[in-house]
Amino acid sequence: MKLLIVDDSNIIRSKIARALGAYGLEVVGLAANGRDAVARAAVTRPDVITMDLTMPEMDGIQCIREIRKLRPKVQILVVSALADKATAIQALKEGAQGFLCKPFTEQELTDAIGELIEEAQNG
Amino acid sequence: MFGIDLGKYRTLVVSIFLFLLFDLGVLVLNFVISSEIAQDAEAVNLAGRQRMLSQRTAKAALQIEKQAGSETPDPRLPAELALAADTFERTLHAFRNGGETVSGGGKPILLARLDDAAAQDILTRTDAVWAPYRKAMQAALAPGAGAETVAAMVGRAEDTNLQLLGLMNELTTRMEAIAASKANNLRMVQVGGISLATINFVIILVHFIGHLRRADRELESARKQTDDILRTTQEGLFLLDPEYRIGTQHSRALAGMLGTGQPGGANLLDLLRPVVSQKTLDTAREYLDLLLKHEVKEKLVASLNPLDRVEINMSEAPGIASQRYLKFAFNRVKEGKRVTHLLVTANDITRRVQLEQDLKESEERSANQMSMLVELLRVDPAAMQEFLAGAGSALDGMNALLKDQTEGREAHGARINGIYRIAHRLKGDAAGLGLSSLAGNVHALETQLSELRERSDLMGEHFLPVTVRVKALFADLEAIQSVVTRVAAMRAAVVVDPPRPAADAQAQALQFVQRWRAYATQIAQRRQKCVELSYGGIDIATLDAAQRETIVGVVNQFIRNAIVHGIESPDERRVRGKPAAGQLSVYVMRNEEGGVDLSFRDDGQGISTERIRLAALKSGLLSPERAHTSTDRELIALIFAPGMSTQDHADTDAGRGAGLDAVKEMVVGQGGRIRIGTTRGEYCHFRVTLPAAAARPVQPASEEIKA
Amino acid sequence: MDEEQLRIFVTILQNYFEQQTLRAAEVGTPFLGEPSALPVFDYTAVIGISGVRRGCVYFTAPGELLRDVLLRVGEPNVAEANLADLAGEIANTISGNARRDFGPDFMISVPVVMRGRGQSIQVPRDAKPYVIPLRWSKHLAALVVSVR
Repeated sequence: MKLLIVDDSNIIRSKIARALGAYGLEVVGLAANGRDAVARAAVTRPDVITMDLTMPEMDGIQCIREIRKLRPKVQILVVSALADKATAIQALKEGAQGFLCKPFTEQELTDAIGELIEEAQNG
Repeated sequence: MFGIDLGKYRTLVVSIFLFLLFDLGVLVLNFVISSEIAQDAEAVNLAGRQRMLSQRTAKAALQIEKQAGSETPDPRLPAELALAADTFERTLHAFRNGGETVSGGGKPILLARLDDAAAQDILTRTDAVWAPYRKAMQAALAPGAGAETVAAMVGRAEDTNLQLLGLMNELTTRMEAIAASKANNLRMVQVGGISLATINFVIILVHFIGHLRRADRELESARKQTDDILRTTQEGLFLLDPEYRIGTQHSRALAGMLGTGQPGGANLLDLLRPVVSQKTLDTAREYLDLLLKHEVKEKLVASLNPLDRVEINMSEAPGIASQRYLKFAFNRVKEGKRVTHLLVTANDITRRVQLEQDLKESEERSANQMSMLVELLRVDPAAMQEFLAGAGSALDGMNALLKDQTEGREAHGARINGIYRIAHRLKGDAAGLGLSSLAGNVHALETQLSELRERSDLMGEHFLPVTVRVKALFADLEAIQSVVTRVAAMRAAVVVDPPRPAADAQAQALQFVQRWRAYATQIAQRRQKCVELSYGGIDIATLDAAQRETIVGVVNQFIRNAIVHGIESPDERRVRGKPAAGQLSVYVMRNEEGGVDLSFRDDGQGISTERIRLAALKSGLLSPERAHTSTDRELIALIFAPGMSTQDHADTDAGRGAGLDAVKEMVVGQGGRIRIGTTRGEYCHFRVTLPAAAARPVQPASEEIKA
Repeated sequence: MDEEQLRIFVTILQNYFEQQTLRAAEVGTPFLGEPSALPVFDYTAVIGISGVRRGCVYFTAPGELLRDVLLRVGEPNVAEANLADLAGEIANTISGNARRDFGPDFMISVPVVMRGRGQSIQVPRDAKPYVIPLRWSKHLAALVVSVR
């Protein structure tokens, strides 16, 4: 399983990479903004993406829309603060499959990713 | 059976199979017997014909005899006789042994041998009679036969005619009887078959009606269980269709929760519209769409549910807005892969939410009250009661001035001045009792009034902030009252300390107290700290000079020590929930022995044994081994050791290690003793006892620690 | 309830009179009332408040005031029902604007209009309510805010 991490926070990126690397995913890319994320998704062909919503250059929703066009089957987990539920729901409608609220624990993250991958393999 | 698992339909299939089998059996038997009866009918006809044929032969024989004498004999008569005799012969033979004969229409017909014994008997007897008659006929019909043969034939005919007729009659009757019995058999078979089919049908009926009724009962019982659940559950349970409509089957609790008579069929969002914000409503619709129409992970989007805490407001009675909190949880109901409905669980979480709110409020309140408690504990209860009563009427007085609606610049000016006067007195009283936070609040009101005074366009509505502050003061008083009541109850229940002398306004005004206060303020300012010093007890001017000097010297050291080492920075104190200003409380009183007791307490961080251990090690007061084995008590005692300071570098106030050792020297020099009480993070309390001036034996100082 | 929030209510009322009648309402000196002795005029529109803060806000006015307002806005029908409607409309204006101005801490109910001076309005007993007197065209009305 190839993982792409999209978040403008360096700390969050490395936290996710550490946790999901240990969980057995192969981290194939890190992106700090939406534009970079789309490019990396095209090149690295990830199976799973963790996606922040508020980022410079291109916001998460736009980014999800673009990535969906490139990789229709990719599983996207939105990782964002709960400040704006409406935006998060919008992101899910654009094609993300799950939502994880910041701040999160490693356990919560791996649980969420596990849930996401399980479904992807079943269907 | 048939290699197919028929399951619960096995009995039904077997029954229907049997039913068809019975019907088919009846049909086949019916066919067989019917055809037999048809054959029998033919045979009966032929038997009847035999009667006719016997008569015809007799008649023909007689006619042949009669025309024997005529010159024109009818040539047809011999042929007729021959045919009748031949037909009779063939038919008789066919009856006896089975074989072919001709029907009435001249067509050949095959007859089965008659099995019936009685019939065979008749046939045998017939044959016996017929055979000679036949012979005679053959002789008479032979070409060239004479008249005597004809006469013999006629004689035979006359002899046998009646006999043959009787026998053939007998045969016909017998055969009719056989046919009738077969028809009877057929009826029996039909009755039997129909009966079996009917019985089978009844069995099917009983069996399946039983089955159906059992199934109905099970369904009914299942339905009743569902009904019972829906009727009794405290949760609001219902299905939501993709148009957000509530299903007709819902728990009874739902109606009460939503405050609507008939939730079934209603649109959930319409029901929520009046009670939630538009934004929540929009988000809710989006969220429901998400679950209904998008491929997301149910578990992973639950945190986005905007209806996990919905406040419902209802007017139960005029002016009473009853408010409840509902939590809606949504689960997908799937048929195959398609989401058809959402199962919604609504819970009333009002109690939980209120508990949370109450907890939060009470935490805030207790934090406030703790700081107030510290102030209040120092105040004499009687003085406090007097103050509270006075303060109450002061606030009422202010409110009365506000309530008087006289307009105009002068009236407003008078109002401001009136309120100001009352406030000023109240502030003085509060400060006098050491109720600094209350005094501060009254001071803010004064400031507000001063600002109002400046306004040239003064109007009634400008008093709004004043009214708000007055109300806040009412609340302050109430809070103080409640704390005082509780403290009184506590004091009554447990005797903690001997009651302390009142820190009355008079004592606060004493000159030496002012000096201590100035000294404390000075040090505090240098260290960017904030302190308040309160004093209770006697005027130390009444002590003898030596005692007085010792007390003053010791207190000065304690003040310095407390501010430098004990009192935290205002920020840190806030974090710890303490008032920003450190509280130094000093009491001096005479004891029964004529000596003097001094109590000095600060509400700072207490004594850190770890820091002492480190400092003692650095300054060489303790060897490394000793430093690690020393008890807290031993370590605390070290603060009185010469050259001991936990301060890293010296400044005006501390760090030279000359302070508490000086205190010890002074106290011991007077023959007194020092006790220390401290709790880490909370306080440090020194109690010094000096003996009476007359009795001043030199005795070793003792340090007692209760930590 | 702090000064800001009180002022929101007062401003809403002032704006209402200003805009509808083109005549300003004069606000008297606010004071604290006793829960047992609050001003109640002929028509009283009560708005329940819940949420983090609980209690109620009510606007009470004599019939004459409401009648004059109606006449002033060109409504000749000053029957009782219309007066009650007006009181309700004023309360609706208050609750509608307040919903917009207050954060989610305040949940504001649909107003209930009561007739008659004998009515007793249920307010929390344990807090002194604010009474904000209001004078419009010589008539006296009041806004009472009782929120814990």
